[in-house]
Amino acid sequence: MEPINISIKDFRNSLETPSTTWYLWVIILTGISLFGMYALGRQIIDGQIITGMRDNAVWGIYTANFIFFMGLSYAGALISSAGQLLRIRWIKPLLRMAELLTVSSLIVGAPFILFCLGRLDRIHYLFIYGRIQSPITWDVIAISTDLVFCIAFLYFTHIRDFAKLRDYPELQVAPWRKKMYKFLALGYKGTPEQKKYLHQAHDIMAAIIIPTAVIAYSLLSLLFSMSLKPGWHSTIFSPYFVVTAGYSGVAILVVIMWIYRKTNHLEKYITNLHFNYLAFGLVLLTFIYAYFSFSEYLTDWYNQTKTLSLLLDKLFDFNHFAWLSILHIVFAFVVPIIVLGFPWFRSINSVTLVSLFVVIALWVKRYLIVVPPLETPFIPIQDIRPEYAEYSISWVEGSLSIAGITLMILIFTVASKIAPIIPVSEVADAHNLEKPKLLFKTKGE
Amino acid sequence: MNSQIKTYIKYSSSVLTLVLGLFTLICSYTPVIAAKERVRMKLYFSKNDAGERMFSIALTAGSGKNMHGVKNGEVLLTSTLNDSTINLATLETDTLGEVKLYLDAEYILPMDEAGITIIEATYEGNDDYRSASSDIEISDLDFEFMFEVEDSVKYLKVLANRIDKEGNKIPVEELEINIGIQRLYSILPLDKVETDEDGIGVLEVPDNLPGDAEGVLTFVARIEDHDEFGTVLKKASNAWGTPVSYEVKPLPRQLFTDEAPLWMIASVCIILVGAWYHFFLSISKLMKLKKAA
Repeated sequence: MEPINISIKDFRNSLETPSTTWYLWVIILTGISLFGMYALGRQIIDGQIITGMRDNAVWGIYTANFIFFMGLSYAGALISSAGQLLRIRWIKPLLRMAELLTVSSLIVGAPFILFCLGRLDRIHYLFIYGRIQSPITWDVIAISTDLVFCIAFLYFTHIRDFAKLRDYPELQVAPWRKKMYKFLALGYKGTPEQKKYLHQAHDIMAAIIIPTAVIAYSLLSLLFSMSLKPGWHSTIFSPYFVVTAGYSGVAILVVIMWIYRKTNHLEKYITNLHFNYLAFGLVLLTFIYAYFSFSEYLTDWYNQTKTLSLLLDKLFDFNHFAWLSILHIVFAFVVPIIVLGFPWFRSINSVTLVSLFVVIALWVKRYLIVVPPLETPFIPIQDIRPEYAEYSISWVEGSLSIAGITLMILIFTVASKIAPIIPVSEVADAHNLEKPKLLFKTKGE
Repeated sequence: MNSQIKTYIKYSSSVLTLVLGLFTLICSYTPVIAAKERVRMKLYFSKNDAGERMFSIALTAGSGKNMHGVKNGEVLLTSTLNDSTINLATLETDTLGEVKLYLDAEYILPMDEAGITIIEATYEGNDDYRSASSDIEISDLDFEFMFEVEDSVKYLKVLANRIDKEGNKIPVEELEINIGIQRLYSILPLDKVETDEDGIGVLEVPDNLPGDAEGVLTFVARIEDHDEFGTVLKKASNAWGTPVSYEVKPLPRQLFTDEAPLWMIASVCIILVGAWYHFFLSISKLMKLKKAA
């Protein structure tokens, strides 16, 4: 791979004083996010009666969002850590996007599970009376640990760029930002000793984030598979969740790449090669995901217990979830295989469009994991009025979900104003990358 | 044939095919005026232990896999007495095509001198369904329990009486009664007894029936869907069972026990210590980096 000629000066425009359009964009995003906060306020004041959650379907779109955002986060962590540990050169320009994806989706996604709580004022009880036997406690520990690790990892990857920004006197930014760059750069000068320490810190964090992400997302799946509910009580759920996370993470990374490439004119750094490689990854993940999905549905279908049959009937009944199921199948399996599987359909735009479809399909899949099983319990509730037995999304839940997406975009917008979205130092040194470290040395090495 | 004519024929045949295709498609979607479906009505009567009575009506249409309930069907429930018809209630079926009318023990149904009540349910039908009706003749039946012990053998005697209009009790003979024991979720069947000319059916009760902590058993006498009396159920309790203590013992290896299993505590500790050790190790590298500045 040819070395890329990159400099911090290339990003001067995107880092210096924001334009009016930028401010307008931030105001719009903040406004939508604040409307979501208003919706949350209404929910806290009026109670969960203003959501679609009831006695039967006690979870809904909030839980679907929670799994979806957590999945994006873990996928981002896996991609960035693997890129660092395995010294993959071509992935370097994408690492910061993957790390930002990790942190932003963790910040946005984690609160969604709290919105499901009927008594938010008792949230601290989770820490006071939390029992280690409970999958909820496992999740609280795993997500908080993962958040700290991922923020640290994101910071580690910024240190060299902060040093470059500190040492760039022509950069016209507010004095507080100059001070911030100086403070966060930790006095990094690029001496061999400092390089060694930074590499070591970076490698250690990358190595620990991979198992943390896998464990955390597996634990999330246990929230479902530990419950005796049709469609949830499945041994395949942990690997299935991890594969789904990887699939949705790669897809959204392609979408983010495309947006930054177009808006910040990064064609020099994000090339056809990146789309090509990630498209290959998407095809591979499509088949793995299809394999897991088929295994899950086949075993449920073959079981033929009354409730499982009812659940499968609902999933493919046009009065219930058939449209969503078909959308999921077409967008997650058919379209990626057809468009990405054949060379004459592949282009940067088509890969991005397919990725967007995959992201939508995998959100729908999370909704199908959460809602239909809750609407099909083994022992039905006595009051079977449709508004009690069936879930529907309320304006509060819709507003908070949209606010979640806008908050994530806002984090990306602000973060890419503070530091370049392409890790300049990493990309500049990509051609000097040492070989991956051997974990286990054998005789003769 | 010149090329213009050929082109003209080619295009007109394509247009014709398209028009025919569309016509076929539209025709296939034209709603067919469907014949009204035949409706079947079932009318049941039952009386419970407290003397409350229930009329249950089910309207169904179609057959085989297409069998379905007639929802929102208006059903008129009437009683006929001496050639006059008395309207009891107008009911509407639910989404399953079923509806129930409950009458408390004090409500007196119109009946003749012999205590016979004639009930008719009528559904008038609508644009989709034909009309249907069903009727039953019912008499009020009551059970009385007698617990007797002869030569250390326990006998449960059930007396079946028909009640006439004046409230007189007339023993019912040759009536088959199911006797059982009320358990938590269902009735444990014991045996069937047939009443004699005095209206009494006798059952020898086994000695080894498990009861509650005091050995109390709840006996249930029941007839089901009888032509004359419908479904009638009555209960009575007696301490003829073996006392059984149902003390709940804590289950082992469950996640809802007070204390987590040792292996789980150990696993969580090892994972957390391992993860956070590496975190602080990498932070220590950063500290060294800062010192080296």
